[in-house]
Amino acid sequence: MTNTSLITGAKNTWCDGCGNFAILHSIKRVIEEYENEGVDRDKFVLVAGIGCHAKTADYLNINTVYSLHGRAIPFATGIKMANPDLKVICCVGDGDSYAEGLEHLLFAAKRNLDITVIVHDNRVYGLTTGQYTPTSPEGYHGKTNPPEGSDLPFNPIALMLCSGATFIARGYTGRMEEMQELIKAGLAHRGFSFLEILQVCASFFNNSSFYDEHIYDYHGDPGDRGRAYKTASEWDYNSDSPVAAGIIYKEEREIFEDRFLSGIAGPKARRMAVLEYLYGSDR
Amino acid sequence: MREVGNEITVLVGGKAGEGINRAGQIIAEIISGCGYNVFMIFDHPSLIRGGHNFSVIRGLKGSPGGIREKTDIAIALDKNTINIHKDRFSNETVVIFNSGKVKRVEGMGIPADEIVKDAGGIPIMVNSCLIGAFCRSVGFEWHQAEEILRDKFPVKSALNLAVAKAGFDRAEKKFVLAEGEDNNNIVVSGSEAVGLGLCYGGIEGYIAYPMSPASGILHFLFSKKDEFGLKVFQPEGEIAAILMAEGMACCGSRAAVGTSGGGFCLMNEGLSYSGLAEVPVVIVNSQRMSPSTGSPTYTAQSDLPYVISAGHGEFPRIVLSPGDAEQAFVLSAKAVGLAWQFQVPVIVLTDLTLNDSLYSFNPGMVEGENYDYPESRAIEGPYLRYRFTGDGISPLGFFNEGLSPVKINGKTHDESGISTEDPVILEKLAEKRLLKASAIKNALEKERCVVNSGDPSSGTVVVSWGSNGSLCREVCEKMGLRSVQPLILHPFPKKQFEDSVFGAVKTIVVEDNSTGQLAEIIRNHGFAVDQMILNSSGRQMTVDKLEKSLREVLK
Repeated sequence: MTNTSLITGAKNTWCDGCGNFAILHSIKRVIEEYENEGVDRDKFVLVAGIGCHAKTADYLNINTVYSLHGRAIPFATGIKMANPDLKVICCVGDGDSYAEGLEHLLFAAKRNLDITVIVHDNRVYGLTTGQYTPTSPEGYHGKTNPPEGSDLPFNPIALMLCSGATFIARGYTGRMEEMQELIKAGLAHRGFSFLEILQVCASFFNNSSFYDEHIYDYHGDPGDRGRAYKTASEWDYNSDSPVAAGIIYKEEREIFEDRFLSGIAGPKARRMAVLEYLYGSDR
Repeated sequence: MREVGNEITVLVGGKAGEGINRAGQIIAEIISGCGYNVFMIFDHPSLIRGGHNFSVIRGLKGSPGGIREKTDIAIALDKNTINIHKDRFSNETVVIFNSGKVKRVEGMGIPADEIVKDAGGIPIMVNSCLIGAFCRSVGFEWHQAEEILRDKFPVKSALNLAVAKAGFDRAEKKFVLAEGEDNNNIVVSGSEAVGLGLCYGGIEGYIAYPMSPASGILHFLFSKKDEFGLKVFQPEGEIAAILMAEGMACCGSRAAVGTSGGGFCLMNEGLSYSGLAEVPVVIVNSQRMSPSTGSPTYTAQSDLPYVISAGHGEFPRIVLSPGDAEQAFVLSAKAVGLAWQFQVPVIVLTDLTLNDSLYSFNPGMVEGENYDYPESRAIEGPYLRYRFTGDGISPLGFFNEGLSPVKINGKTHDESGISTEDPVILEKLAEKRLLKASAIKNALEKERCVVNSGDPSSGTVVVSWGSNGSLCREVCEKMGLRSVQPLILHPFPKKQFEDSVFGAVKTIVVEDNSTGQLAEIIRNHGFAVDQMILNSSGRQMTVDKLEKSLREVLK
């Protein structure tokens, strides 16, 4: 299988200039690197939400779950409960995982589920044609914008810091090599890896000039929580301030999957245990 | 002194938080140990402290289908028990009460508060004291009672036994509980039976958000997770619960979820996902009273058309409806096999009466059933998750089995699992679901879809479902009527049902709802329904009440 392409024959329907291309190819290259090191692609599962980002599931020729809007993470949780050895990547959108599926994102961070979440944050609903999302800035004028000043964008980095994520990084589709390194580092991290990828939407919100001007390479000590908070607060997704890209926070903590290691039995052993219960060895 | 004979009813009541459920369970187990089959309801408002809780335990030298109106023994931890249940008392009712709390009542006053205080115990031990008194009232010698009770008090057993002995010494013998042969039955709740059945059926995971009346399954399985080698998890909500179970299924691990109506609503997108993506999942929906939050701790049978049609779009599913602990075990186990054979959602539709009640359970009755269902597994060649086949069932394949890529998709997809909106494939997918539905229908004909009891020659047929099944069985046996209880409610087992009601002159449907949900389905399949006995009180009818209602409609 390793000789076949990592890209399926599915017709690509992203707009020209879409940031998703850069993310797709970064993931592809990272998996290629793993394959070159002898890791079978069968070890990977990509779980996607619903939105433009999710087409990644159709385009990558690996195991995938094309899930529901906002729900990639609960599927990923079940996959890891069943098989903790799999490397699970969740590709999610900003509307997808910061709106409809926010609870799942927070809880996965809280539990330190060992997955890598890549948020394709284009800060607009693309597939549903241009409504505002939880990270749209005030300056975005979409079809459904709230009155100015009343509805602030989320700061996902800060949100993840206080939710217990053990790997937090920010990347930008305009800096593909760095982004690819971040995805690699996220996959290598044992625990909940959160990658907030700022991405342009060529059709509804092309914010590339802002990003090109404000994003800088961040190399602070990722073990310093105080510094991480400071860096997270530098830019509130509205203001005209510098935007850090790089690994912002990292720590080691026991992972979710470990709680299910005890008591593993096959269906036959389980049947025997039930019969023992019914016929009374412990009653 | 009265011989108990064929049956005995005991009521035990007190404030919420006083351990009434556990006290009832101990009494049920004592009565079961004397060779009776028991049935116990536990009635509790949705609160933690201060409300009135009570259990009614019925022991029968037969198979009890419900409780009686009148009680032989009433154990009152507080005055409310006497006031609220006046109608359940007869001249012959023996009242055992805590004289520290209950004044000016005739019967067997036990100074339980004082006994517990003197022994240096804690207030909940009043239960132990009155259970001790109960043991003497039904004719046990202390050495017998001590042997039984030692088992029931796992914590602080010496102190509990001392308190029980003091209660025992102050009581009088009023009955002789005819000791029968130990029938080796165990006493389990419906929730436990569901959990045991799911495990027997092969689940590896049980994922549930707390919700009455399904929480009993979660609590039981969590307490047994190491013993049964099970992954039990409480997630952030019901939406997550069902999708996590489906995530497990994508890896080949069988999983089930449990909830009640409101939680089932939240699971609908996951249900629909299971329908299109063909990810097997078992959902236990334990019905509670009323829409919305309703009455969380009171019973109903009002979700039937909902579970049959829940989830948008058209897709096959199976709805099973157990009515007692043995059926709960059997159908929960079968649900797992069926879900995986057909790669569909299977709903085990229970009700609060079933989940929360205690039943005598004969393990021998469930062992002989078939629990092994064939699974279509991938063989050679490039793997196609949604391969079109003659019966609509594609060979299963999972991640990390060397089949890569396995593509599971909740959008319309081609055979390989890649999204498509091609009109020809959309037609093929719809046809695939129809083929599957018909394969399910054919396979279920081999199952026992309907339970028949009572007098098969009677022209009066009483149809019921869920926990009312055993209630109607008992009353029909007594009245010489025919009782018919469908176990599979969707797809409706028309053939077997037709055989069951063959020759019916009058068909009466008994349900715990206000519109006659099963009656409607029966009518839609071309059968007559002449009368309905509907109950929306949140409490199951007593056997006496059902008998009276049947006599009225048969006048």
